Amino acid sequence: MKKIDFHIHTISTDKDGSFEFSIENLGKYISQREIDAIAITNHNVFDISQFNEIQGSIDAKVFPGIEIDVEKGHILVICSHDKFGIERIRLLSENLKDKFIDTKYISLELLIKLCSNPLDYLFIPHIEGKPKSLSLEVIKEFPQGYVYCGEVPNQSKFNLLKKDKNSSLTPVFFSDSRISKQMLIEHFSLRQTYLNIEALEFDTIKAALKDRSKVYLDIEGTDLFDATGEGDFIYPGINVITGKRSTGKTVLLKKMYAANENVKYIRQFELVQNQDDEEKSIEEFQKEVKLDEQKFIENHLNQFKDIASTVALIDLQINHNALDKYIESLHKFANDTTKKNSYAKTKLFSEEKFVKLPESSLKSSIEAIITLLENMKKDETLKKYLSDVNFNELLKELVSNFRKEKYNNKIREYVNEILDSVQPILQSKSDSPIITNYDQLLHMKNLMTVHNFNKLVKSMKESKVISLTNIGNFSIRVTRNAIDSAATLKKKIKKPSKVTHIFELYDKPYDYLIKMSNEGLANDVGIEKAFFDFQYDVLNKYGNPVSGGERSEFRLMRALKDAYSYQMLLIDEPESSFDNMFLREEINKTIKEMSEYLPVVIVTHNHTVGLSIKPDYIFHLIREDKPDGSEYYIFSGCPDAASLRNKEGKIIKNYIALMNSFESGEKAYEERKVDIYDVVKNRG
Amino acid sequence: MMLLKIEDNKVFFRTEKDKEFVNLDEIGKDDILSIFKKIFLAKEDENLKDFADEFNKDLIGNDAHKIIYERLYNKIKELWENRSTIIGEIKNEFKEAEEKYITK
Repeated sequence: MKKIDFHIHTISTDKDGSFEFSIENLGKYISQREIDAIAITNHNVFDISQFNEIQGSIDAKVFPGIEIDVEKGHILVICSHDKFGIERIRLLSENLKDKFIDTKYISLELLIKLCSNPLDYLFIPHIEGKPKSLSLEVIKEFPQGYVYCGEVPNQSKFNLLKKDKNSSLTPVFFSDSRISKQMLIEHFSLRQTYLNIEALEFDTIKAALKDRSKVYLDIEGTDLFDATGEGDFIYPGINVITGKRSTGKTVLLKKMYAANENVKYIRQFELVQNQDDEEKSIEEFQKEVKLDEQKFIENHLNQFKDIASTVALIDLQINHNALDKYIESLHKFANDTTKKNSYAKTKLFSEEKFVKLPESSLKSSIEAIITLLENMKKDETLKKYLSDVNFNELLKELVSNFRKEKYNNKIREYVNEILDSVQPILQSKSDSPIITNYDQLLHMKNLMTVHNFNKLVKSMKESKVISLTNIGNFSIRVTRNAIDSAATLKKKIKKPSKVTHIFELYDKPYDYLIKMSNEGLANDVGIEKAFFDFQYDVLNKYGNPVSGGERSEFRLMRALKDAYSYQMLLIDEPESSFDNMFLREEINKTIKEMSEYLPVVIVTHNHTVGLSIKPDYIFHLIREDKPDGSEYYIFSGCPDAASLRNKEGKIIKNYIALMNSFESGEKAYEERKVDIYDVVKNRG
Repeated sequence: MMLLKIEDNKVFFRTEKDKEFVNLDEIGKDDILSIFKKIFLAKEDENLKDFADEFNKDLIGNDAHKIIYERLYNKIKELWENRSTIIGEIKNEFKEAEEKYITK
């Protein structure tokens, strides 16, 4: 067995957090984790002098590589460690240099052009939900022979993919570590892959990566992996840790938490609220739910926000004043005819400027037809119905009209410029009154926009359920309401000052908006938030608001849902706050589903959780008190095995361990005669 | 509904169909605004000549009326010609919002 980590960063690029590479720590990492071969894979770059230094001083085989941004994903491209391989990667890096100036990703086509012979390279895309995974569609587009393995985000995905007969990809699991000066030995990554090979030649490695029976997470070739770095192996599925109180269950969990990256850790009692002050706990609960829904509300209001900010720029008072001045000047001018001198008598003296005409739909029609023509190339249905249409002539006419319109507008602008330059001179030579400018099109447009805005806000203030999301047996209901008082408004816009004078205008949305934006009151939170109030209710399966106990259950469901974005899930004694029915029915189902996405470890001393969840692997912890201190033992094994074993090879009977670990013990079992124990008892 | 008419060498206006016509000398800001609104919201199949007589300098003897009406009529004409585009523009702007926030 050879242990490899083919995803290591040694250069801080703009895609990494800033770090200073330490060759010393790279050496320590390799010896600590007993790694046989690594690949240096920095983002879109290869530094040959650094690579040579690493290759010259590290006690492991070092392969050259680059992690390249391709088609919105990441792919590792690795070559042999001889001078030919190093030159290939150097050249690839050289060719990539100017490719990322205007774009974040290169095309698959370009990558294949730059690496024309697949036999010379090893391609490992991110897959299965690892951040920056390459989509299956893109992977399918690779020519035959390029891609046969993929880097997965966690051990569960590794296990699943390894056993998935329908997949053509072999899973690999790497550290993706930034080797920095600040790195601590206890944080060295546990993410590597074992290959069942004898020699570490590039071709041998490639051949092994084409055969999923040759990849493992552990040296023994079992499906287990080291979760603490101290030889505490767990299964990439559901693991249950049992044991009496103070046997080190939580300590073990904390070790796993510290040794792995991106772990969701649900601590004991974390989800239980203080039940003494019901009102306060409801308020806190609402706050939590509200925080979760923040993004949804922002999304919900984004369109309204755009509209409100457009409307806020409309100043109807200015439009009114312009009209006022216009009519007044018109009257004055008309009644002043007798006094006009030769300058004032010219037509240009009082000629009004052209107003800006609104843009017609011509442009969007042209764009739509171009899209249609493009789509027709591929879409048979479009072809069938539209092949008789004379798009050529249609497009020609539309484009011609569009140009005429553009031309017309340009000419009008040009005329306005002339008026701008001539009128002040003429007017300076005469005492006659001048006619002021007034844009009636803009005025009418603004009036109508304001009218529609008022109408929209009025309808939106009517109470309405805008979202109903299910989480297990619960649902979160979000209702949009009108703001009921100045006090609520004050809270919403987070202002200490009085807002009563503004809230008085709440029923006149446009005036309210203008006042609010003039005073800059909602600048911090966004003006859209000052219009509506949102109510968040969590309902149980009967559609009723949740009770105190149900609130904790809901919080657990939510925490579990949240865990999907992590790579490992640790739960410490979930039973401490929930009744068994709930645990059995809901949580077990959810955890079971989750274990297909990430490894799960549960600490428990509750038989319902411990057994009915059907763990893949179990731990039993024992403390032995001796005069000179306590000894702690960690036994583990498959749940259906007759005995469990610890690191030193000590053995205990599985059934005894099980009975020991539950607080109720064997007596309760005898009383209840729960079927599930018999399975284990008979094996014991 | 006629709002501006040329009669006896003068121009007269009104803002509502059941109101009396008034001499153009008397026209003020609010009257013009009210006329503009009616023009702006006229139906597709209506004609401008049903709202305002076309400007014709030979038919208007009153010099002040001639000057005012020439400009006023041009403004009205411009508004008439562009109203459907403007309305379409606004409706489009609010269409998506209405679908998102109101109907469902």
